[in-house]
Amino acid sequence: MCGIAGLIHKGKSANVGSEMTAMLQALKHRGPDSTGYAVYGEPVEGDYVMRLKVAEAEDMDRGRGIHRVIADRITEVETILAEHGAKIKTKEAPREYSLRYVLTHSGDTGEMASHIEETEGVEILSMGNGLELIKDLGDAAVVAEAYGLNDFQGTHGIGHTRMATESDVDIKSAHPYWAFPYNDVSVVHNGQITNYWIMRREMERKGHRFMSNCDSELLAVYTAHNLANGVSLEDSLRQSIQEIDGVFTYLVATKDQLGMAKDTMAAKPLVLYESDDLIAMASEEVAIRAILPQEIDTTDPYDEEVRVWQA
Amino acid sequence: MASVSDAELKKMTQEERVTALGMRTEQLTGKSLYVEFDPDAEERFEYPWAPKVDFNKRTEIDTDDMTNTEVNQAIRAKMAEGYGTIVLQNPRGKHSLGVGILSKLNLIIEGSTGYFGVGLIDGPNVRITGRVGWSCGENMMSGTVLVEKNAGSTFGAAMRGGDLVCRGSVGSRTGIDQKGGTIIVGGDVGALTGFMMQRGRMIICGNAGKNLGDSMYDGTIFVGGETKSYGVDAVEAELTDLDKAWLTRKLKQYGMMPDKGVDHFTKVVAGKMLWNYDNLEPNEKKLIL
Amino acid sequence: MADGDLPKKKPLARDTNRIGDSFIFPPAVMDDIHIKSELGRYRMRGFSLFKKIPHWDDLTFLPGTLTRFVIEGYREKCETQTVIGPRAKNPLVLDIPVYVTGMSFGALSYEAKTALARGATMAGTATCSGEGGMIPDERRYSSKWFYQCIQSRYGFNPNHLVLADGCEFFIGQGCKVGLGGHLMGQKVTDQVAEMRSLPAGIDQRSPARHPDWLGPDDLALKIQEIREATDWQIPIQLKLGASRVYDDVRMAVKCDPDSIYIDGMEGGTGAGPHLATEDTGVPGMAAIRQARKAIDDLGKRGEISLVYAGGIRNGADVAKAIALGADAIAIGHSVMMALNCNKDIPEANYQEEILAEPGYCYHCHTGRCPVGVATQDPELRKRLDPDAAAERVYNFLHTLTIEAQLFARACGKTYLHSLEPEDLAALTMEASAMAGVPLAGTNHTVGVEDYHHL
Repeated sequence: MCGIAGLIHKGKSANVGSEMTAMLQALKHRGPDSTGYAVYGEPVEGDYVMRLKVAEAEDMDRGRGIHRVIADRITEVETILAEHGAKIKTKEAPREYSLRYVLTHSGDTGEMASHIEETEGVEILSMGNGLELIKDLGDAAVVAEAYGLNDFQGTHGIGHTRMATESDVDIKSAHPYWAFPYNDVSVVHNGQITNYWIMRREMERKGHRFMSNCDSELLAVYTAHNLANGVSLEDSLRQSIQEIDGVFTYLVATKDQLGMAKDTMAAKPLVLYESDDLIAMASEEVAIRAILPQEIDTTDPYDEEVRVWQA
Repeated sequence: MASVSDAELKKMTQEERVTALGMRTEQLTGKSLYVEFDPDAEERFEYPWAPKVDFNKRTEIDTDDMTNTEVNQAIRAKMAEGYGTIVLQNPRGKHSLGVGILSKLNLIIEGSTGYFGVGLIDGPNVRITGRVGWSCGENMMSGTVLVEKNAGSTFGAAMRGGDLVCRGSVGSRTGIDQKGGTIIVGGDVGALTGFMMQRGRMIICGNAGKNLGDSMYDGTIFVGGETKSYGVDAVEAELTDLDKAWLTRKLKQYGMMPDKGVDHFTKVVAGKMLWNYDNLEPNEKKLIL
Repeated sequence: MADGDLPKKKPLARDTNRIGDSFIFPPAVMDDIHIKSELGRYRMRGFSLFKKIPHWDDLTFLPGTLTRFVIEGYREKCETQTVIGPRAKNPLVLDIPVYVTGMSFGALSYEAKTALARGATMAGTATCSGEGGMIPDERRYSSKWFYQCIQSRYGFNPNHLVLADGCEFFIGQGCKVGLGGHLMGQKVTDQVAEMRSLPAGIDQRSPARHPDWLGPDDLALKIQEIREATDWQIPIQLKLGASRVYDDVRMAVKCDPDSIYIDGMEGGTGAGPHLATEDTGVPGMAAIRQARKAIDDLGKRGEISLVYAGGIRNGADVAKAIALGADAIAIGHSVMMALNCNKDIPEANYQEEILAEPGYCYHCHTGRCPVGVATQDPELRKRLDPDAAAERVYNFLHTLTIEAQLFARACGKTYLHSLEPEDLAALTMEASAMAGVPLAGTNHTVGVEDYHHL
């Protein structure tokens, strides 16, 4: 149960980082537990940005030993990267347990990703040419500050403030979800999926991996599965409305697209602002107002509405 | 309650004790709001925050840097000073603005509000120049709310009286649990409009989404445009001359009269099949499958 | 004895040729199927669940003997003051830990509602409006009064809201979690219908969802709206049916109410589908422990109160629920019995009027209550003398309190709310697992390593 927000600039880059922070901060009351961003910079072919976490935020309270464990895990990750022929261009660690690599790689990133995740406690948050996926406990201001997001230039982004329902308060259950192992695809979701376990088991039989028990992760896996099978983003969104039970509104971002879908019950809010060069949407108007103070016209998408915008 | 000491109580008979403890008399001053209980008594409950105001006294509040609590407190403070016309500037999508106003007031909101805008009101005339979020005019008892732009879902949820008007389009579940009053929408409405509607009337000049009037108990919905589908137990009825006269009067009142008049409106009412569901014939019970 | 006459032998009461009785299909189940095949719908009834579940009787107290200092009954103080919503500007301060939960005017008669209000006021505790709006006399007779904001919003009036001492959001009830309220046509009289803006005589099936908020994220805003409308004065309570208690309560805490009310599956109803009362929810002892843990885990102990209701019959149940972590107890079902529910009063002829023996009546939904409590019929209502009934309500509430004190004192507490799970032991494995207290005579808590820290 959450707040979601998304925006897309048409044909230009802007300070998406600070815009998303302003929007998500305005939605803090909808989800005080954690905040997440998936923002998209100008894509660079051949270079991959990989964000991963090697421990949970709460693990850091476990005492001295955890530092040793983290260092070991990082060494292990870097060994695997080398085995796959990936070259580390830059490496940053905004938090001790959260790392950002820029890699040069030409092989199968999917296989590399699944090998990296074989390391205990390691989860790849995102991988792609333009996608940067950041999520951590705390509100938008805290996360943006820690991860230096306030001057991130990009074309589009989605974000999420989370109030945990039936899953835990931790990073692995925070949104957005990366559509593993599908480069540059991310999902944020507000609502709940009531045939989650049926769908999840079906996806697991098809060979997909789930890192958390959060129902929103299903949407990421589901989207990844469809995209991998050549289904267009719009068709995948439409199909989800028929196949997934429950109430939901969710946003999907790809390298150059932003899509939204609303369920048949229209029970989860979304406010939409459209202009020629900017499309912004959020659970509440107050978030859109945070970046557009002037008088604007906004609408509520109706039930079963699906939209896709091109960057 | 009368203060009686324990020692005194002990000396009393059961009958005296009951009286002394106030069980036979009214302990709080007040009266029944329902004539069934006490037809003669005067209104004696004290309602807070319902001062007498003067419409000619006007004030403006710039809400830009204020929290919604501060805005609502400012409104109450101004009303206590007798201001009858209050203008809120720069609301910027704040939630719960102007809720719980229980007396006459002209409230003008220059901009857009978030959730629950002017909910739980009894009396004021409100004009909102922007858009409103979810549940605007929720549970309103009387007064007028006029929204110039679009409105979010559950517009006028459980409203019991007054006029709630939106010139633009409205989201889903408009007039859910409506118990009275009139909702007027200039544009379209989403799914499940008039869900479980109980009383009152709704005018939709544009199109309606699916499941219009789903399981409505009573009340009337007039639709000017197309309806995607009717919900369970919603049926069309004949538009009478009385209906047309009422539609014309209401729509003219807010300057929303369509060019082609009101003859094209479709009237939707409850089929009343669900009223006593248990008494239905077995094959009729499939209504809700 | 004459020759040739064998002594008379008593014939066997059972048929020795019979192979056995079906456990799955006893006669009552078969009857039920027969009736439903005629009806074509589920069967309605009042009361609470009939089947056996782990219950308060499966717990026992471990009072002081040598290791603990016990407190003298009747002489030494054992404080019972209870605060609901301590953070609110005007918290609800009750003299006793038990209050009368929300039961609607409509389900109950006017006389019953006002008798409850007067009895509760005498006992220094609160009542709740229930569904269907305020009846002014109830407000007048209640010194502390919750106004319920229920899904249907029947009769909800902001003018009444500002008269309340607390606002309770009804989100679910333990007896039929996930369902809306029911009031059958027989009880929807002109007056009840008018208060609820409904056509008279219809079967009222209230919505299960609130109209104006559809998820907990919206609920947080809704709570804020009510706070704005009441000027942040009164405590806001969320009433939840017990189901996924830990997660639900955690979520409720994040919506920032002042109090959370958990209704166990033992809770009763005036009308509901028989199966819903039997097969939804979790028992109170499991629910309280989970709810307490959720509130404590989020660091809100002492800020957000925990109220429990469901299946509380006596002071031992009250004390056990408090020991497991409840701050206050609400009762509905048992206080109706104080009003005469199921009592063989001279005016009532149960067999003729309701086709059931006193003690076996569960026909609240028919509106034919033989004791004039759960009815709107003017003739039946005359059977309840509100003055005497109010006195009985007071007596019952007072008894619950002194009974609960008895256990607290025996466990060495000078404050009723000092009772803790460590004062209890379980008599069955099930109770031990659910309530998270050790099996009597052992250090073994089923499924839990350290029951002090769940």
